Amino acid sequence: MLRSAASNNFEGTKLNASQPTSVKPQQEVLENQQESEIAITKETIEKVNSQIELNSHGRLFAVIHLAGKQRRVTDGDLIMIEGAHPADVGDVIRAEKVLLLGSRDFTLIGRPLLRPDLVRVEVTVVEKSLTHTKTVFRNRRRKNTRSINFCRSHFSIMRINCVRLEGLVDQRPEIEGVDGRVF
Amino acid sequence: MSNKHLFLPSGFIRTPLQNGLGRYIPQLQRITLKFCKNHGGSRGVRDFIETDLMEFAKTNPGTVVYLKPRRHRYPCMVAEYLNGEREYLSCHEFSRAEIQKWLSYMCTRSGIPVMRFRKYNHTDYPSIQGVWNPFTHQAPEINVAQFPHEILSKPVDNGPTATDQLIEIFKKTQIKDPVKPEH
Repeated sequence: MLRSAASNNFEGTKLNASQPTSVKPQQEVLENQQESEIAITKETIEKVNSQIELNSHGRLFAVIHLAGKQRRVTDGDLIMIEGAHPADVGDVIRAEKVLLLGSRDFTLIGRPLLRPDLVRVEVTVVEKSLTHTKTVFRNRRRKNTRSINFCRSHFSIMRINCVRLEGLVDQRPEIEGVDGRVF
Repeated sequence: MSNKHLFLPSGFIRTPLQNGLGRYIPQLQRITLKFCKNHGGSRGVRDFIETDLMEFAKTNPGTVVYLKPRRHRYPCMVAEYLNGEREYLSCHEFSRAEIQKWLSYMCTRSGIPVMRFRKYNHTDYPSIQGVWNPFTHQAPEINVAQFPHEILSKPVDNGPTATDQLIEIFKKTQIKDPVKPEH
């Protein structure tokens, strides 16, 4: 692979090649490293897959997108969701938007999401309640306008039940993304 | 303006007895509806008892419902939770829908007193891949290097300075003009 530094130079293009100049064309030879890169990729994927098969990856964490926020979760975590949420107390939800999954030795990064049949994150709604009374006080100075409101907003607390790997990396099924869907 | 919330107890989100691990257990143990059979302030409570109470008791088998008629007093509801907490709510002149709403609020709560949350998530495993420090992902040669070191003692960002870049630009402008052919 040859790449000429002079060809990218604006001044180089302006000058005619037949005219003698003081600038010598700079060239460097880049080796084609595609094959070695592919070998490294394969080896890495094999290592990750062997850990998944032996279930030796240890505790996993995931970054999920839930109720408009990205949250880092592991098994047994508690997360709080601000605002009203349709899920009732005791419901088990599957968090399908998994952006990232990490373990001690490897990290799987979704582009932007990981495949739903690769990762499973389950969440139980544990509590739905109202926050403490917040005071909303608005005052316009020197305008004789002020208002005071009291507000309690909804929140729900969720327990992360599992963050689990359910498939192997780089082994895609022929049809994917349709399990559990009703068409 | 009320500053009551400044003196609220604050804390971190939690659930009683690891609720939601394994399965969810409703935390409302018993609820007592106190009302008057004659007064108009109890009308919503009486409507609720006539129409919705049986349905409520069927859908919440884990909750004991007590009804306590008492003459010529304001209606109220008292919720008692599995963790021993007790919450009182005056229902004076509540409509039937309001009673339903507040009853569902009592049902879905965990019984932990209302407080200001300092964090919206809780984890027992704050780090799985190790806490980052300045030497994470650095080459291990730094362990045996002797200081002062030729490279390591210098600042990391040792690119060309602004002066160097100016000199470079100046040098580029000093290209000799191509030799003009003489006529």
